Amino acid sequence: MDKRIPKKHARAKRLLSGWAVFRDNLLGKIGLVFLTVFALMAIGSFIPPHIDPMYHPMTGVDPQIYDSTGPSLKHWLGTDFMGRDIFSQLLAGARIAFMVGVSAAFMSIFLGTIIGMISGYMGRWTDTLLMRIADIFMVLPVLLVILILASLFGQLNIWIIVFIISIFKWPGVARVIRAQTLSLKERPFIDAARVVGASHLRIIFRHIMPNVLPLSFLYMTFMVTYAIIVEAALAFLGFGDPGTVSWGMMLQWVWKTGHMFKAPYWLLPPGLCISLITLSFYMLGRAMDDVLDPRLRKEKTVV
Amino acid sequence: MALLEVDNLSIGYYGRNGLTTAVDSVSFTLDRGKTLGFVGESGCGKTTIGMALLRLLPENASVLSGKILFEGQDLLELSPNDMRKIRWKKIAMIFQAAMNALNPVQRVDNQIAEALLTHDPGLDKQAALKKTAELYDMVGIPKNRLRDYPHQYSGGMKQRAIIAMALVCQPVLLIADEPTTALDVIVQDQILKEIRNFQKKLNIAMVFISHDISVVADVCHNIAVMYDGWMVEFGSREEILSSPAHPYTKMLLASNLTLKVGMHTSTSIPEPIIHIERSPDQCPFYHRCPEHAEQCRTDSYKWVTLSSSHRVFCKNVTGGLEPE
Amino acid sequence: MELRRYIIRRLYQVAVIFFVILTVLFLLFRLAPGDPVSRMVDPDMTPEEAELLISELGLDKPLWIQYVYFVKNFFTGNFGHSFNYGQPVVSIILDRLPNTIILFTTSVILAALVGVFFGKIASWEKGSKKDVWMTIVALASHTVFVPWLALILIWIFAYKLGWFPITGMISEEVWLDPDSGPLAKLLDIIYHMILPLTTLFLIHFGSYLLIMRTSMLETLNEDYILTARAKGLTEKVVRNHHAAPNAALPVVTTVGLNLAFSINGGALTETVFTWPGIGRELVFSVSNNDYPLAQACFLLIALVVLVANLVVDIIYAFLDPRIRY
Repeated sequence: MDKRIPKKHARAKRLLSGWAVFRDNLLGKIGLVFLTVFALMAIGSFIPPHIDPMYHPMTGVDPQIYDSTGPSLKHWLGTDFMGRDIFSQLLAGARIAFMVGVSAAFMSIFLGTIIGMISGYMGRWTDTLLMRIADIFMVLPVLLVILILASLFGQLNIWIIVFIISIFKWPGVARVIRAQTLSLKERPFIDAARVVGASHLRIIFRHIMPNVLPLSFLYMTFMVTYAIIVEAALAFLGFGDPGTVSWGMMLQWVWKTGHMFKAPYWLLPPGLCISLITLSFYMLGRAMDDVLDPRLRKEKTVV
Repeated sequence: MALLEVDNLSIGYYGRNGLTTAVDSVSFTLDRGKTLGFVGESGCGKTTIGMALLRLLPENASVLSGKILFEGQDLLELSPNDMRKIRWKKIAMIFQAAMNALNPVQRVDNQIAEALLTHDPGLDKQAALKKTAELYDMVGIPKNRLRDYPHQYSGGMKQRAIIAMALVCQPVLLIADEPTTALDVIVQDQILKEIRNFQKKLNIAMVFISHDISVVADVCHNIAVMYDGWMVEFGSREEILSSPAHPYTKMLLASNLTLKVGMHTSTSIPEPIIHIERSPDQCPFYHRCPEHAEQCRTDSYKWVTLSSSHRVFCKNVTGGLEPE
Repeated sequence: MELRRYIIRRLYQVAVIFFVILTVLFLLFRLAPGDPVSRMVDPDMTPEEAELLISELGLDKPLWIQYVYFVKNFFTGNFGHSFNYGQPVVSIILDRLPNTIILFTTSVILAALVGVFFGKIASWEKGSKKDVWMTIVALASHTVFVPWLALILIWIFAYKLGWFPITGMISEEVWLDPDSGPLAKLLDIIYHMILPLTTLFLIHFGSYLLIMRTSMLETLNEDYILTARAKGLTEKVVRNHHAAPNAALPVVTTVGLNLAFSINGGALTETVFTWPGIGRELVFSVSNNDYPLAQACFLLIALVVLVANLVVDIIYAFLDPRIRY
């Protein structure tokens, strides 16, 4: 490993180290490409009903079709068991996915960051209490909690679902932000601020927050993924918001109407979309992680 | 024949900006039972030399030229398997920042015994553990700590365990890379005393690497001063301490307040080493040298021999005998 | 010795958390809109049976007394009567719980072992084709949508190829046949378990592989690895004896952290495969408004997650001496 290295091996070594950087960027790039496609789908979801009311994902019915049919010129991905266009359903699903994912992520990041900062900064009783509460939330599987709530309160509205998801996901973020806050707390610039007489609130929001925000944003990608999956799983099980057409809902329809073996054009696209959007956000998150991590390690603080 | 003969060794690292030379044309010899100290600031290449002796350089490093003759064999030419056999059995090392040099999930005595068992497969585990216990006596760690895990040791104890581990196969050459840097001053003193004792008692040759010239002066027969990959002065302890020839050596000595040998007003060395692009003929120390002259930029290099054991790599030195 | 103290401390934590969950659930069920009594008493019961149940569960008493009854009942295994099955809930739970545990535990352990093994290999050959492919497969399987994967596996292997049964845990022919011995029954279960096991395995092993890979790469830069090499150990010994045991620790932590999420996946898998486990029972009972059963299933799952967390922590403490001492 350290002998006199012939020229070609030396070049190979250089290529290897460069490739690692390139590959991580590639991962992020692929993720970004996919996400753009999905975003376009989401935006495009408004179009089909305007072309012809039969393309409406929920209520549109092709007057000539009464059952699930395969792909055709009129219906690019075929129709579901009620004669509704699958492709427009897929587009609508993209819209729901982004809606659910981004809102839930924002909420849980918001909560998680604030609680994490307060917990890390205040320490002692506040910290212990908040982290114990976090423990309890972390132990409970969100899906099952929502199921129980559904049993008590009936069919849940999509925004309630989003809200509950974020309530159960903030602990994950909070822990990481808390750890970061703890290490930031010891830095001299915090002491300096305290000496100048800054209040705790000011220190938290003016000094600590800018330095934990990159971490928060990183976790946002993971949160989006999680929320989309949970909503899809709920819809699949039949507990989603019946007024929304999400990919999980589509899978539920395929499954419950017994078409899953007969209609691959119906079974495959929604599941594929869910998996791909998850993959894309994950790849994006990993790429961001690799970019941020060395920066975090170099401890470039915003003072 | 000298135990260790390094001839014109040059080592480089591949980084984002291409090849950086970390060690440049370094040559020295070391006899059995003697100690040689390498002293210089961080980045001067002394650690790289130490790693090269065991062929433990990282993946992006490359030996550009030179030979490392150990007991007559060129270590650089050995197969990886043969080199493995030499490691620890003949040449052992005490690492820098030894705080993390022990595997955290293994008991310390097992790790030390492992070294024995690797090089002497016929040995049974019990015998190896017994030998380990004996070494603990020698380094001064209570035997009831043998079965502990590394995180249970204090800093000084860890260092002693590392030393015990290094000595367990009875090597003929020991490389100590900043063995006391991470310790507090009192423990540092103890460890140094013990290292000196072992070295004498077991007649081990030692390469002692440190940025602290007072520590090196304490322990070593000969001292080599390194700057930016170059060896700039080589001499016996007395020669270096009482009549340093290279301006850098003088600065190192002057900035060190703990030496009892002729203290002048303390000077601090301006700016750390930055690897600057310079013409091949220019002295690497030129920019920081208080005694630089015009010829330091232009005249070609040569070693100036000041005595049979003392040489300096400087174009501006006066009083040299038989310049080469 | 420290290990014992650690376990006791964790047990205490588990108890506290569980009690909080128990209490919250109690409050939810009693205070949610609608008639709480109708939630616990089977509408098909005769008035006398209903009376008996009401007094057993203390539904006619003030709230705090109900709570006491509730806790007492929980620990004596009296969860009420399932609306749907007409049996005591506890007997249903006891029947379903082992099924979930078998499936879940086997899949997690297998996924961890395989993930660690291949993650280790991927790190050794970092950048190679093998590594790239392993990473891609790991990523893909980690992010695929659980029920969809389950459906696809059923479609291909059970429906199209007919290799495996489409649903269920047992074949009635085998179990009802008086001549079939325990081995036949065991094989039958395994036969039914393969597809759901594969589903769960695929979902989990990816993340373990990726974490082990990253962990190994970081561990190989540690000082003690340099020491090991300097001691003259072969690369193989260095990687397997020194690097891997340290690198595997984060994987164990990950198993613990992801338990709640894993149970989600487990419930979905059980539902699609009609595997008679607690997860599926929960989904089923909620769909049917079988409140006593749903409540009990939920509590039990929470308990399972807590205990599983504890087990993982203990395993970790066992593996990492820095925790124990």
